[in-house]
Amino acid sequence: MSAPGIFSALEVAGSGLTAERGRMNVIASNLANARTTRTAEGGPYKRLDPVFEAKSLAPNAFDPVMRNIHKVEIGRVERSDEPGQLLYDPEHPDADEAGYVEMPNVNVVTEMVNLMTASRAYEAGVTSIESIKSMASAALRIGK
Amino acid sequence: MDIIGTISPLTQAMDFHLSRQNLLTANLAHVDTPGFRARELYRVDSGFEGTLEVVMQATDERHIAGSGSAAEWKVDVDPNAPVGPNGNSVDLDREAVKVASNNLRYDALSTMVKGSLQGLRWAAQDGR
Repeated sequence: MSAPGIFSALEVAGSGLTAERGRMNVIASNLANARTTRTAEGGPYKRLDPVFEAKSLAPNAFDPVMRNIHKVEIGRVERSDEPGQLLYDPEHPDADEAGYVEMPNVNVVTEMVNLMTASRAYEAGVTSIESIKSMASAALRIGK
Repeated sequence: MDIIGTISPLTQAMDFHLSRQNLLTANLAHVDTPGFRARELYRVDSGFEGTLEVVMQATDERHIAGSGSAAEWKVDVDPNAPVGPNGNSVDLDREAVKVASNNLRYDALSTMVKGSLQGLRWAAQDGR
């Protein structure tokens, strides 16, 4: 690909949709495990945080616009090591000698806010795809 | 002044808006990427620098000529976009408005190209 066109724009917008959908998956995992006290690594579930990274679509292209178009992808998923809330529940099977259970460090309100921003960003991506599609059909109408 | 001569700047403007749409789409895709700065496509006035670039590209007939867009357009970080706490300067509303207006301009240009071509057809068919 030498010059930016309809398909490069669609590819970039599509990468945004994939990344936002991935983020929603991670948020869903955090919300679903908001009270999980046992994991394969031992201890309570720890909140996961996806980190987005920019990746050039064509780093060696001649066209300056093409060099400056970046796809988005989830570079890594970070695990938060912040301590979770300690809950006093001596009956709980995972309680320590003092009767406290460490809960996951998931804040349900924060996750819900993140879920909403991910959803809005996804919608923005869909809107830009609609826009590119209408531009393509406007260009095709020239020949009619 | 001829019809073909009218179409050429219009198609160049369409190229500009298609390139800009690519940049704006990338900006929207990076609304959550930490440290990402919103980019914008600027027209460069055909001053000394732009002319120089064109001249440098075509000093020998064996050189591969550039598309010409390099001298006329310039990609730069949008200085007016406010930078958020994580270093990201993509404003969802700002970019969405830009996408919509860019789309409208492209549609207007394509209508003008279509009109010019219809005029050419009209002339070619002896005004029938």
